[in-house]
Amino acid sequence: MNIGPLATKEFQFRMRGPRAFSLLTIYLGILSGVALIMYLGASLAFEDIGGNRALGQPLYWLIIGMQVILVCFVAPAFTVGAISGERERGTFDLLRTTLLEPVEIAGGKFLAALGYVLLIVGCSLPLFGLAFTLGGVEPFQMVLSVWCVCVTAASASALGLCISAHVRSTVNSAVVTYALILSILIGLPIMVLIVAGLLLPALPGSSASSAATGNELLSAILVYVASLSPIGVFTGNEANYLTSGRVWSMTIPGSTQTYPAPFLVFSFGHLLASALLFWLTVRRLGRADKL
Amino acid sequence: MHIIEADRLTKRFGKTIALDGLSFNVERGAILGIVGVQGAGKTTLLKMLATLVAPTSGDALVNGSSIVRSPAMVRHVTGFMADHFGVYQDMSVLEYLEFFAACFGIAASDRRQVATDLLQLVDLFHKVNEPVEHLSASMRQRLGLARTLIHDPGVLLLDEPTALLDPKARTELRELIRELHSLGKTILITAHIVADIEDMCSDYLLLAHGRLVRQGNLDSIQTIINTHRYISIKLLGDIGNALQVARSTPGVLRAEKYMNPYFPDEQSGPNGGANALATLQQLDVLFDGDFTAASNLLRSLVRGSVQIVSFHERTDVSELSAPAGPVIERNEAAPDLPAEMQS
Repeated sequence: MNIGPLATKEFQFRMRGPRAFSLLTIYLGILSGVALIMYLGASLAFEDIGGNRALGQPLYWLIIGMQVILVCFVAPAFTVGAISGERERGTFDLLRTTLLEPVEIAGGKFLAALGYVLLIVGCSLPLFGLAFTLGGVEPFQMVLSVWCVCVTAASASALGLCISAHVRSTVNSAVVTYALILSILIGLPIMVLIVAGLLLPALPGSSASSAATGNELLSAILVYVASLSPIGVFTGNEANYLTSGRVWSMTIPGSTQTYPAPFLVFSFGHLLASALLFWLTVRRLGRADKL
Repeated sequence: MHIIEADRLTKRFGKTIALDGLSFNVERGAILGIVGVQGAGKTTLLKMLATLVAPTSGDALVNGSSIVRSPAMVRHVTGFMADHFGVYQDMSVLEYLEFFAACFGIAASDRRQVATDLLQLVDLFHKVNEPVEHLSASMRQRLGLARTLIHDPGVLLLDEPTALLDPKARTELRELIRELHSLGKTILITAHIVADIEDMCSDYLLLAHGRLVRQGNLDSIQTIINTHRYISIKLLGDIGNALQVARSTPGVLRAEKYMNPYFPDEQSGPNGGANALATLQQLDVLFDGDFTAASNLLRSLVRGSVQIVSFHERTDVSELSAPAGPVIERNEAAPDLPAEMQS
């Protein structure tokens, strides 16, 4: 597979000029600004801030939360115009007459976009050092969170790429992509909360034990559905770790039954969706007369 | 030997039939002009041969490879240049060609050499580090041609390459295409103004409404293109006499003095006709007739003492108003041609 030329070209020209560095600066500026404000606020409230574990965790939460939201908006920005933009510029047919196969065109675009987002995420890692200095955050928590951020970046990029291949204009592609991302990011957890509020207290059962089992199963399903949202998975993971101390599995309160941890379901779901979206993109690019 | 063999190529876009059972062959090393009005199917045909559009039915073999079953093999041997194509911003001319060289799998160590050779061929070497978006239309066309040649294809598919160019640039591009032909390339070139390509092509395909009307040489297609002939006559002296003679010639539908839009005052000459150069006039004639009629018009003008400097016919297929004609095999008669297409 010859992904190299397109990925190199995209990455090389993205890094050329002030735009890429401006975006990186703004991204890191927002993250570090928020962290600094929180740190300064806490230093005024507490006399001995050094080693304050109560501050370390919220700071970590804040940084990772901001990271997730920013990645959800930054990652698709590089792919919503990947194919539609080529069409609008009149360069897409030029690419299609080369020896690059549809999978190589899609792969090159995807890797170039994801590479830049991962570069941004990598550059923000030193900020976590602040949370580590204060304590209260385990290294594996950070690894897990960064993994989930990377998975989010992959799926958001794949979504933008797929919509870009199916929609004629970049503006339409951006509108559809961000509408879908917002629905997953915020809409999904809200929907789960509403469903949980409606169903969980009133779940019918023939006996107390079966009702409890039904409640437990429904709770697990709702946690997993909510975990498909990047916000949901961080909330689920942290809540699970704080209540049960488990990383790879979770338990529903009041039950001894263990289930796979939310991040596993999130990772599986998002990587599967990314693969599916990528396949749909390749399929679309392969249908010559539909483009 | 045929390098392209098209067999009943058909393309439907919904209810619209863009190509309707097109069959033709192209000899290796030929320059084939594909002519027809807009919507005749010229671009669809080229895109199909470039594997950008899949046929609804039918197939074509390009250098022995099927455009349906082996599109990748076809892309190896074809180079396609669209009538309008974009360029990447922030890219220099050299980077542009090197990028496409990479897309065609040319080894990294050879890319620069290939790109610079091609830039020399299309006379753009002096623009090697110029951003692509700063090039003029003519230079972009030449760069497009260089890109088309990057993998040294045997067949070039050029979609109206001269359409947006000024006369000088057209001439330069025509010379370049002739040079490529001398290198052994088979060239398919579309145009709706035959004059743009008539001095290059050895063979023509005339399309109307997605159907092949005729394949043959220029004379062969001119007999069907349109019985209305457009002739530009440059002459010295009194244009009034020329107008009178032309208008009295049988078959002349319209004879008008050409007005130069840039120098309208020059038409009568600054010195009242004393300066011979300034009294060079142009007469545009539209008439209904064949080659013999054109010859008769010239004879009438000469007999009428009109001092003719040049007598030039231009063929404009945009005037072709033929409904869907029957498929006519090469050099065969056209028994069912619509009246307006028969000579």
